[in-house]
Amino acid sequence: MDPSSSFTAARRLPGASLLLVTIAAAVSLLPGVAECLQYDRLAVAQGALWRLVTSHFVHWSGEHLFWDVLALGLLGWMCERESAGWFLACVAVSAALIPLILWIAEPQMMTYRGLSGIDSALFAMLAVRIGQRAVTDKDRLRLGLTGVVAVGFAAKVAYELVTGDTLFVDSSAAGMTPMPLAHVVGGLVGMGCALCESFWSYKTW
Amino acid sequence: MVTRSKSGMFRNGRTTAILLAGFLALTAGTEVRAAGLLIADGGTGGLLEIDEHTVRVTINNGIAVTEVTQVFRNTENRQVEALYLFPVPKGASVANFSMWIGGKEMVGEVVEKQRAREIYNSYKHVRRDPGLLEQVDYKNFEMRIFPIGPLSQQKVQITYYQELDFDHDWATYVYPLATAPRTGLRAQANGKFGLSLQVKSEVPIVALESPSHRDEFVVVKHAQNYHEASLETTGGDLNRDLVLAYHISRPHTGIDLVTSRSSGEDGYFLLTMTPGEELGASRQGMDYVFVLDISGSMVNDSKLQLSRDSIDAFVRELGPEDRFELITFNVAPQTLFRELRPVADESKAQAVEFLKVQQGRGGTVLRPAMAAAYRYGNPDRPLNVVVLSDGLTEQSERTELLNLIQSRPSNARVFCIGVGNDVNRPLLSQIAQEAGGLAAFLSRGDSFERQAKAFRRKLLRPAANNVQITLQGVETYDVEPRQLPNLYHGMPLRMYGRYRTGGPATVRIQAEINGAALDQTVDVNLSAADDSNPEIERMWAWQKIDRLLKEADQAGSRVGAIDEIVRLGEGYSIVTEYTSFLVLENDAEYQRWKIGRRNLLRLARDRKQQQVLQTELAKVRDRALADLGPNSDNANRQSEGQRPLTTAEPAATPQTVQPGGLPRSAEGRNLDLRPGVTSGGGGGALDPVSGAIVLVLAGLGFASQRRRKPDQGSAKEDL
Repeated sequence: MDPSSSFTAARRLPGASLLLVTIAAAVSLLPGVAECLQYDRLAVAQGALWRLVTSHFVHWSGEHLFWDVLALGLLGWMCERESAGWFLACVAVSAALIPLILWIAEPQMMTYRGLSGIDSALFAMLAVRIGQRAVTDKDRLRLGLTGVVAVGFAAKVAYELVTGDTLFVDSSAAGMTPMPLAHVVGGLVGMGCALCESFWSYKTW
Repeated sequence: MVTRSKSGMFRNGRTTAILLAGFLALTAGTEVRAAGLLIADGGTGGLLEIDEHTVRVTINNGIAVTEVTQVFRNTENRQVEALYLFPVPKGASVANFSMWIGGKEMVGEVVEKQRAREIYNSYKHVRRDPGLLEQVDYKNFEMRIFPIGPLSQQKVQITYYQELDFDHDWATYVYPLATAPRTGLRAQANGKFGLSLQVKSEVPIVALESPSHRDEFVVVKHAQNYHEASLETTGGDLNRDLVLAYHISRPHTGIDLVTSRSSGEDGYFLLTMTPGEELGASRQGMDYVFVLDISGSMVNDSKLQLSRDSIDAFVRELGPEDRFELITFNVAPQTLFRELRPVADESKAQAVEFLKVQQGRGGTVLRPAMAAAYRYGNPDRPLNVVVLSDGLTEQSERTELLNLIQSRPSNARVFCIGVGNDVNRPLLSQIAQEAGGLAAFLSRGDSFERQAKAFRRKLLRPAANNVQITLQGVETYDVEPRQLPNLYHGMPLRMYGRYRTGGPATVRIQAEINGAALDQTVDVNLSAADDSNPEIERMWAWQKIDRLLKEADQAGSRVGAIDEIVRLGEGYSIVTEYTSFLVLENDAEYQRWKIGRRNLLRLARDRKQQQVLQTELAKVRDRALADLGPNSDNANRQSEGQRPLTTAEPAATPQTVQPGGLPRSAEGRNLDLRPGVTSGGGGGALDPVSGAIVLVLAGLGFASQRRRKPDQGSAKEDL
């Protein structure tokens, strides 16, 4: 890979991330659209398959939207400036896989909304990348900090998965049922993408 | 021994002849009528004395079980036949009636009405002692007891279940001692009177108080989910309704689920949806027309005074942007202003003076008054017609009245306030329901101010229309009611139903609030086995019977519904117009008539569960008192805990006894009813802490990339 092109890539605007953020924000401003785009098990069963993907871009509340979009903006920026291709691959795979897994594993869940699953995928991909780089650079401090952050995030998701409740917020008051499985699937997809990227780079190199 | 009776119907010697006729109905959902009255109906007649009158009320998650035990004494030196009168509210399911004869409790069974009558008559001829309880009108049931020996006592006990209505998280229980089942008679204890009330709630209880007997009640908070109130007096002045109200804390809209399921049978569920405080208040001015009944029937039971006080409280709650008018009516309406006047000191004073001079007389003809009220309709402002009446109108007028309701102005709603204890609740409820409004019922001991405030809040906050609640993931059926009413702020919506097998399920709530769609789902779990709430089984059956009767009446014929009503009545021990309680002397007699002891079994199950509940509550009390002692820091608090007037401080802190220490029965979930917010389904829960973690990782990523750039630059130089 030409380092100069990488450097240029690093400086360019994260266009895909901005586009996704804009879509999520714009959808929230259109009344009634969210109901047509959300994951609705009955509607999907009747053929509305697009809801599997569009469900990520609609949210239950302003607060839900804010944190999801903020995370997507930051993580997307970091991931996309490294490699737009792998960023898009991570988003596409997690966007497709998360609702499918939820369909199979959570038959009681009738509706689903939110970008947090994709955020989790990007988080995992970025964490693996930073960790790999810290190992290469023999930067123990960065490796340690990355490990702490990654373990913290994983612990939170594990807590939610085991208890069925949220750790830091009242999800009931926020008007949603926590779905940590989406985060688990997203995290695995992100890790997988990062590892594939490393493997691919190693092979091509 | 053969004894003469006035009616000549009973000539029983040894023990008792019971003719029970009647049953009752109508009262407010917030009211419980329970003033049993025994009248010596033979010879010279006269009122028998009540030696003891004990009421034990257990409220478990909003369903009240009232057990009334009364001991009557014949003060005359002769045998008398007594007529037992006992009103219980419409919506209450009589679970049992017992009499003690020779120290033995006699328990009845519910049988199809005609058959029960035939069996009863057959015993009557051979002078043996069956008992019969029948529903004869909407208001009272009656039972004859014969004989009560000279100077002897008779003990009776009745148990009934009733769901309490909640209003802004306040549930009100009324025991109407002021109600006389017959004009001119009064149920008043000469001996001991005691009422104990225990409230258990999965949603924490904030307060328990008695608006009517503030000084007489002792209230103790054993735990945040368990309060107790007690009153005991001997020969005291008990001519006022006993009113107890408790406040639960549900700051947020939510649903609560209660189940009951025996092994091998389909289960029952009660789903309660309670709107919370997040619904924003509307600042739009409204018009109010108060329509006050001043007919002769309003003189009884201080109804007119109660109405005056209520209107006064309601008007004081209005804002300066509102306008109002007063209409009184008996056979003809009379208006105060002839126009809608802004709420101001002057107009309020005029209203007070206008109300003062009103006197109750004449008949009740509501239709012209309603027609007059509708003329105040204005397309630009919502019109609320508030009718204060006992609803005792002419039967012939009711159809016309209901037709008139249908032709109301498009932006008008009708709210009915039933006043007093003798109220035609079905009519007022039907008028309000068909006019998009609400019916509320006021007792003499109730708090006008609280009711008025709650009423005003309902009107200010948006209601949810077209409410649909479905359970997905489990097979449900026979859901009652089939058509859910509008959801008003502060008033819960209840839904009963059956389910095949237990397991996780999703409750989906769809509605419309201020034109915006509401679509939320919450996950719940329906128990595979739960015997802690048998009361909801009867409540479900009663709801279904009520619907069948209404549908049949609307269709103009009850023929097709009677079989199902009888089946439900017999199966769930519910006295209806088509089923009666029959008491036979012993089990052999029941076998002879092939009458199954379903009520006996159900009663045994209910009592067992009540015992379990009492045991659990006793444990809570014991735990609360565990720290009590001379050296205990809690000692002072406990002494405060016995003070009357207000809810006492806990003998133990709420943390001492967690809700889990009580029988698990309800499952609560929060919802969000803010207009435009559709939520409740699955979603990731990214929160500020997660956001901070993301920020740190992004920072690390940024630092990593910046560090990489010089490395990449040097690598380029190397190349």
